[in-house]
Amino acid sequence: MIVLIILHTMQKLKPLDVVIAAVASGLVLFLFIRIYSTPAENASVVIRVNEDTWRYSLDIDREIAVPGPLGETFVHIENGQAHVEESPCKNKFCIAAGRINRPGEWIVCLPNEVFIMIEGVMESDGLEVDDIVF
Amino acid sequence: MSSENTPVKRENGIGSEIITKIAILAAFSLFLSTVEYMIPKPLPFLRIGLANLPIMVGLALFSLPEYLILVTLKIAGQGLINGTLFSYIFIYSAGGSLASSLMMYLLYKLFHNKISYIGISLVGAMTSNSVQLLLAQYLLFGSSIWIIAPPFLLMGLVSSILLGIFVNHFTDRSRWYSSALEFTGLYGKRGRDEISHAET
Amino acid sequence: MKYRMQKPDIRIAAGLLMIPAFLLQPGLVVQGLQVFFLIVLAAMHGRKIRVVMITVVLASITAMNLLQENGRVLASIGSFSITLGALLTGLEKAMTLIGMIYLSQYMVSGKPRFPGWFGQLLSKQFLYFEHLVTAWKKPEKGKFIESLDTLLEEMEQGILTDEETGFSDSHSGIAGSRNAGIWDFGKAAGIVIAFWFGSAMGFAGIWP
Repeated sequence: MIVLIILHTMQKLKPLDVVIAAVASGLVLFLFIRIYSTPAENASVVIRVNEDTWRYSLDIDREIAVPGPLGETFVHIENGQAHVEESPCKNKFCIAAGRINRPGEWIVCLPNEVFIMIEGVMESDGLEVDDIVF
Repeated sequence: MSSENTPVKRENGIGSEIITKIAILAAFSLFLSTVEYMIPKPLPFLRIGLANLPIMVGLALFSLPEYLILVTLKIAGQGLINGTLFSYIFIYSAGGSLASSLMMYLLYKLFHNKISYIGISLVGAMTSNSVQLLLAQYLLFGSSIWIIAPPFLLMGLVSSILLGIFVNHFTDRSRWYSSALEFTGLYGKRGRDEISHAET
Repeated sequence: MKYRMQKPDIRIAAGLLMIPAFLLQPGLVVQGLQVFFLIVLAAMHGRKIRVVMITVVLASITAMNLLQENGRVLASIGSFSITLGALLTGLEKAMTLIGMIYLSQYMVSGKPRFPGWFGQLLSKQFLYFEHLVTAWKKPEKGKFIESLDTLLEEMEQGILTDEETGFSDSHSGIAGSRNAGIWDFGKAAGIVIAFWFGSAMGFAGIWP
């Protein structure tokens, strides 16, 4: 029975079937490699005030008001970068620190005790193999 | 391409025999979707797409308006039976069904000599899965849906090939189908050639 | 003849009136109550409560949304953190879905007939469907297509005629549905008002 079905299927198979099957399998395979080989976790912004921690995805733009002892520090996430927009501190070093987007980069506002850091897999992790080969 | 195979004109729109055939296939689609519903699956969102079998069978039988009636009946019937007609699960299934059946129809019309139901089924499954993934991203899951996209698409790939094999088989062997093809006579000569070919 | 609203149509009207209250309300607690209300409503009208489905939908949608970190960290396991904002977004989306499913089930529980040509076609489809469900038996091995053919030909050759399905004649008396009475309107109005009451409490900020 199964042999008959296979024979019949081979008989019916037309050129475009093969092309479509090849393209579709290729596409699914590509998605498998693309989605599962790159680190699943995107970089995220970690904000700490004393004991409290907040985490935000870098992919989505938003404004965050972080409550510190002096008042609220406003952190903006825009186009995959984070920066301090407004701060109740005097020296405004945190605003001057500019934008951060790579894992390991950080901004700190000492007067308001706000610590902002990018966490995620370092970009170089994925490149090391290639670096050796080429 | 096939100018001599002009469709046979039917009197006053869609005849009642055609309507009966549409309703039968739509009912079958409904029946298969309840069968599919009973097959246990890890996620309720995973589909085999059994309900698309009658839609594919209808490709050669009906004109575009008739075919669209069949598709609409399938979508509305499923919505009523699963009770999702007024929820946005309905948008999700309707979007997938509509996009994939239009793709299949287009493919059949353009390339029916160079393609069998395996290719048509594959394209239909890929279309409906992609549309559903996009809708799921906006309605339910956010962009993390793409983490489950590969196995979801792989399942569609495998099941659609199996469905295509079945439809190839069915359209060759079924008495009901060959008489329906002869009756609807949309492709006149071609339809009859295929039947006589299948009988030898 | 004067138009009288039929029983099944009342549920559709009531459901349509509830949709905005459900989709627009702001608080998660009110939403939870509304979802519970809708599940009970569907169950009272003969629909099954599918606990496994609810759990899987709730868990999977929430889990997927947790991957989009957003807000205060509630707990972390290894490099994975559960953030408050993501949790709330996920719960909200999952509950909206479940609520809509059961609201929709309530709406179609009266087996509404759709008007006109398409409605008749739809009921013809359902008659065939019922025939399939009852007539289907497991086919003999290797004779799958033969038994399918038998079924298909059976349906085609007259288990139903157009007169039976009412497809070709234009009578409007629909079996199984009754005209709505005061009691039916009252019940539906009570359901809608109770539902909107929850939303109103949410809008006013009295309930979270």
